[in-house]
Amino acid sequence: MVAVEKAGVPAVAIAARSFARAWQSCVDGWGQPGAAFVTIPHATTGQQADFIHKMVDEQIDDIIHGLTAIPPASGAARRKSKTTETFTVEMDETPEGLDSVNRFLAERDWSDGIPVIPPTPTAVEQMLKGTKRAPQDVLMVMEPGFGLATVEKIAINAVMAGCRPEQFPVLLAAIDCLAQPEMNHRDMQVSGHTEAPIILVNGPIAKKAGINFGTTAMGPGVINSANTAIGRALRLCLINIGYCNAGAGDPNFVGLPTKFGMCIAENEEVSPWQPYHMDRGFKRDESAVTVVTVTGPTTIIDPRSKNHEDTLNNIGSMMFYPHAGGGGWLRGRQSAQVGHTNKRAPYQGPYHPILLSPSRAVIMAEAGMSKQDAQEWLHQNCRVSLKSVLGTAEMPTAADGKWLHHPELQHLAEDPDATIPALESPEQYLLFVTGGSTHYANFFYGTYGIATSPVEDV
Amino acid sequence: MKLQIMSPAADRVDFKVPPAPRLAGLEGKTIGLYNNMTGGADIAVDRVAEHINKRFPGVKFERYGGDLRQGRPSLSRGNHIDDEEAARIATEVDAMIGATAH
Repeated sequence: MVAVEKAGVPAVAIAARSFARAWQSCVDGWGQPGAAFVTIPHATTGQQADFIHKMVDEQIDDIIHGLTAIPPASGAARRKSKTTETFTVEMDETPEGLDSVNRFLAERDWSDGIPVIPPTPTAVEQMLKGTKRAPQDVLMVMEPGFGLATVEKIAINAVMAGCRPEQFPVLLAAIDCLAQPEMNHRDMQVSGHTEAPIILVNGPIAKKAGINFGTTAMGPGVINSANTAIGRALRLCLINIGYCNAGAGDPNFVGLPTKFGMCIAENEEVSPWQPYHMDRGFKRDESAVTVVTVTGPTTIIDPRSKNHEDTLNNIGSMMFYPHAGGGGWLRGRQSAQVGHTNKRAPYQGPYHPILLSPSRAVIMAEAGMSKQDAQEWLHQNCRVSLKSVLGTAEMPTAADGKWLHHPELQHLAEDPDATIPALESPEQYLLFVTGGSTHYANFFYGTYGIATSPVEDV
Repeated sequence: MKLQIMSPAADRVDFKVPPAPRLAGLEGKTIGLYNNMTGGADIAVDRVAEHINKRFPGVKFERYGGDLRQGRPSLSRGNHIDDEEAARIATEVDAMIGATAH
């Protein structure tokens, strides 16, 4: 709505009360903290018309008033400085004194709620030794708050998360991924459903950074500290650089533990297939980070499969919950929107990461399947009814009645039994071999974009 | 012990968008109704239109969001109005009321 105000049109928005802080945070970032909005008690999704009418009826005077009177300015004050602010915090050995840095950060909403390592200038300086990039280099403008992601700010958050300098290039590469328009990081940040970035690491950097790619790698434990710290550091950046604070920039309806951070490397030593970054055009001895926005995961328990098709059928069963994104590609590609102009960037999505235990990959490889064969199998066998796809929303159609996207499939519209692949392309089944070698896989539902970036060799 | 710590909060790009001039009244105006195609948002803005129609006869409405006609702003679920669309909308309406499902 700020875009139409910018064009000179007075505007009023209607939003659910639980989104009021999110709305305010959003318009703060957009530079119009006084943008008019009126709240109603509940989200309108799934509500009957009578119920929505009643909610609107109660606010109609305020809605009309918003078009005729400029609302008072509110919202957060901006700060812009040439040097990074530093603060002095008193610590002592009392329980309160030990927690004083955490309380200081919490009072400013600069944390994920878990105690952090104090980001002292010395610790930040040490972190910066993990990269050749200059401290004031800006990797991206992070939304929704339009924060400048400088190398130094990222380093401060990395210290807080418990990262070590040798892990810092992985975090920087993850932020390079978010900077790519096809990542659609804005929607990842501000969406109301439970999604989070997962960081997938390939190449020699995994060992150098101490990232576990075996048993328990995404869980708690000392052997997983690099995974935990890198994933957490990205979340802290999303909060403190992107201003995606819980309940404000981040209006997620309930959240998920995955939002604290997810980072894992591929078990390239045991996998029978080529590493994932090679699928994305990198060489085996290069290092790369892929970030995907996902919700889930769901664990696929696969102890009774006797062959590769049983396993693939089991994985494919995850695709059959309604509204899993199946068939959406028929309406054309999704668009990310970037920056203050809302410029659109079409991208292919979703990508569903499937964290495959090496044992499951071996079952397929022993049957003679390459990774691409397995992806092709899933693409061909995970199908949705065309009738159901057409029933969910109107098709974009040209004046002559032809579908704007995939007109070659329009002749199937009258066939009640016609099906189409749930996803547009085989590679959207992102098979990533990792973890201990046993009869499990984790299926993540991809929601928005994907991007891969090289990791700096320091 | 005194500990010096660095702020983890980023500087922000300092956009400033002043509020658009408000209307003196709604009589004879054209009001845009924008929904972002999330569930029920269309019902909410349509209800607003019903109220305005009763209070201000002669007000016209232009709907945005979910409009798939050729040449119309193809605002769709989750998409925000971009600058180009906003400029076009400004030629078509005097004010805008928008709703999302959330």
